[in-house]
Amino acid sequence: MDQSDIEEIAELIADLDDEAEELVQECIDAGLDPVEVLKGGVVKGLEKIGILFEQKEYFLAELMVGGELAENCIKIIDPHLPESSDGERQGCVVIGAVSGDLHDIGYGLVAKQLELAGFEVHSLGVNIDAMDFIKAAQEKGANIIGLSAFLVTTIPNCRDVVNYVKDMGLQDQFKVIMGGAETNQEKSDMMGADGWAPNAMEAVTLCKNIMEAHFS
Amino acid sequence: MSATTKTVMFLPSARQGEFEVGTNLLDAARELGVGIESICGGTGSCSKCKCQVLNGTFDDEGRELSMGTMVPAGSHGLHSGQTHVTPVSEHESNLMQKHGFKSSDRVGCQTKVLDDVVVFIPEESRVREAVVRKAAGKPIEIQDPVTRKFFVDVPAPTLHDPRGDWERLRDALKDTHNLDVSIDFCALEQLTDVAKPQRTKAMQLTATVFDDREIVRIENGDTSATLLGLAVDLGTTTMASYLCDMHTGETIATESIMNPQIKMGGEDVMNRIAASEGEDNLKRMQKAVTEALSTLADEVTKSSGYSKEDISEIVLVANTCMHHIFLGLDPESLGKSPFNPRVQVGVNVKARDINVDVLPSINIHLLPNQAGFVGADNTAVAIALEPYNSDELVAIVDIGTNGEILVGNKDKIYSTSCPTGPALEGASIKYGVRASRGAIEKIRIDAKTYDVRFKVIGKEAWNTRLEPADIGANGLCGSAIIDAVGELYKVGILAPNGKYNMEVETPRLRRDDNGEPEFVIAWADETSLSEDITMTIDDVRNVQLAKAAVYSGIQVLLDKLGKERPDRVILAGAFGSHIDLRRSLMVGLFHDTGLSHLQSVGNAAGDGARMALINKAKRAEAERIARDIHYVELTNEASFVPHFVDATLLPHKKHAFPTLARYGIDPNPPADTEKEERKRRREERRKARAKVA
Repeated sequence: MDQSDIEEIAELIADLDDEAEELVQECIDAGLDPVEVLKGGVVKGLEKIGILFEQKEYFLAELMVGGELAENCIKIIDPHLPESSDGERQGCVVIGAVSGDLHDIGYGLVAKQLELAGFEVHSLGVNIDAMDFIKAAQEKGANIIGLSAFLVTTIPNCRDVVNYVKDMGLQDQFKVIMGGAETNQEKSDMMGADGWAPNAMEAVTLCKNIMEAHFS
Repeated sequence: MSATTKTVMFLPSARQGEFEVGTNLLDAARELGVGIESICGGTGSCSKCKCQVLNGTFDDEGRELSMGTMVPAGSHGLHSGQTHVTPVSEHESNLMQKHGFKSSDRVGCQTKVLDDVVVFIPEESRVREAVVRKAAGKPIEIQDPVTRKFFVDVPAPTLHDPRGDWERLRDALKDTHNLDVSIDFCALEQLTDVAKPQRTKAMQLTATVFDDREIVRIENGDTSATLLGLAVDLGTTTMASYLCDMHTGETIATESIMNPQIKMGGEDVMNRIAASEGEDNLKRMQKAVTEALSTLADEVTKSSGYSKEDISEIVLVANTCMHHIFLGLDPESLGKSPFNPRVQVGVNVKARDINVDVLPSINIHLLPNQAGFVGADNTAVAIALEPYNSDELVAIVDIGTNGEILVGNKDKIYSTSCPTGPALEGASIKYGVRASRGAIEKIRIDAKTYDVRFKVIGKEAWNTRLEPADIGANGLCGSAIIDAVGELYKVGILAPNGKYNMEVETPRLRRDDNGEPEFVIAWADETSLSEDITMTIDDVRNVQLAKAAVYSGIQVLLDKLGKERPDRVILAGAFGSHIDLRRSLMVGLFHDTGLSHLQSVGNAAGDGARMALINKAKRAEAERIARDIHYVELTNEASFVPHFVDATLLPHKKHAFPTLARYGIDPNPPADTEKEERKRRREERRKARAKVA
């Protein structure tokens, strides 16, 4: 068991091969550094999936399967990780579909990708009232509020959340981002959101950028 | 000309008008009645309203005046330039890049007027007259209409019997036909018109009676041989009407037009709901469609030698949103959870109450809605196909701007609406167009040479039998989009996960300027666009999303019934009757039940409307089944997401497609075959590492 096995974990995950789980277990059993198995293996594999998605080699199904596979691997590694590695938390996000909207595929994918990228993610569900986003963000100590609006008719509800944040003077505490099939940068600007992303992978980049710009 | 208005002229039509500074080019075009494509309704997402702002000076007919040309006295010509409109915003720039615009192109709805301007609308952005594909089906067998005619002898008034004209008619109907009826005021006026010249004579007249309870029309003499009704299928895109002989069940004439609301509020239901926000907007949208119905009624009767006053009743079916707007009921609740409709049961309304210009007293019947997204049109499909009398488990799929699905048999039926999105109708597809002249409608790809044969609407011959210059393809319509993905998968150019297999060697498979793969369907010289018509990777992705919505919608309903697959798949609607059934199986639009158990029945919604017009029992049946069908909201179902993701694969991640074996396609689900492939790749990596070591 050596570095090449850790590289193989990354390859297996990128290849969506569930042999990855066995190899992770073997590496851990052989006493390899669990942090290295996580970073050099699992996280690297996820990055590869991200690149393949951007290159349009992979689509939703691969993203989903890859996400589940990585999650299973992390479950194996998790008990062996030293306490201190928790300090690398990227940031905290509360996310859900706005009032009137019941679509959960899109924001579910975003939540999963953020989680895998090291964010603490709290999924609130669908049809969430504006004030409930704020309450959850305060309760969880979130940095970012993620709004999903799938329908032309529910996009305007994003503005309510933005307005509450402003009215309550919380602009420095929470940044509001939005996304969804019918949204775009212009609509996001119209709603007054702090950011917009067209897909799950870019949402991760957006959140990382926000963390760096506002919360580092 | 006031200081703040500027002249905008559109070419090639050379129509022009005055507009406030800040008006966008799409709105200006619409106001002038210049046909320009827009699917998103001007919200800046579809980019179909591509146009070009011209530089130079133009005369009234849109001819460019070269330097030194004499301008007619009194006219200064129209000076136009790129700076006479707002500059390209970041959002527009992104759109332009995404949709492959040239630097001289602009997105119409994003470009605002600053000064006089001349705008050229390129071929691909012009609205062409659609090929309306809603033909009438076979005659209705049982004739027992709700609205009927009665010939009646009314005794003369005398000093001994000075009852009113109406009272004598009422009593005569009671005596001879055992009817107890009231009379609409409009018919009372007609009765007076008939009675006046007869003075003290006995009258022979024909009363048109709605539902055995109200006279809606009085005619002199015996006209009972002529009993006409109008069935209307009000679609989001197309409005089709069928003039029916209610005695014989036959369709006398049909007439269709585009739904005029498209020009006012985008292509899909959600955009329509947004466009009807506010009392005035709702009234405007309602008026557009009631006026269109009046026009249809006029044309369809005139074309067969009748007048619109001869229509005795109208039955109208529509999706819930179109239904509500037609009645002037605010559709706002349909746009947000819990998506409740204003009314579910069938509605009877007099033509005059909603300003439909036919005989004011006649009844317009709207079949019952099932739910916010499964409307009267789907109820009509159900009474036409009667899945509730079927032993077989049937899946009925009606793919329109929204997809509606019924799955069940005589024991139980579930319905749902699935978000197919506009891809299958040509929107969100780079070279997607509506089905109209010049659109590619069929595609075949040779498995060895990868040569493409295709057929365009309006030409008898396929492209290979025409001179390139005679082909003039202008884009891909829905059936071609299905063909393209199905054929590309069949010949191995598309992998099951929808990615292009770049190892296949053919000049048609290439990367675009952004490095993204695309496949050339038609070379530039075969088109009227002077550029290649391609199927991009994003187009394929959009088809995958749309077909996954349909497939997973069926699957969720099957789960509810505890079944694996349907016994039979029935395609209803215009889209279903024009797609190639084999290619739609290759794509995996629905479950493979075998070609003998897969059929397309055309416009079943129109058939159901005609049945409800001519057969009273069908109307009662509609009320019953609209109540009995169990509506399922897909987004509420936990199994929807995994089913959806599995169904994004071609043809499906886990389900076998035995029919495809005869086309040289492995009928087993790709997930099974991938295992071996992965093992091979693992071995390769191991060897490579061993070598390095």
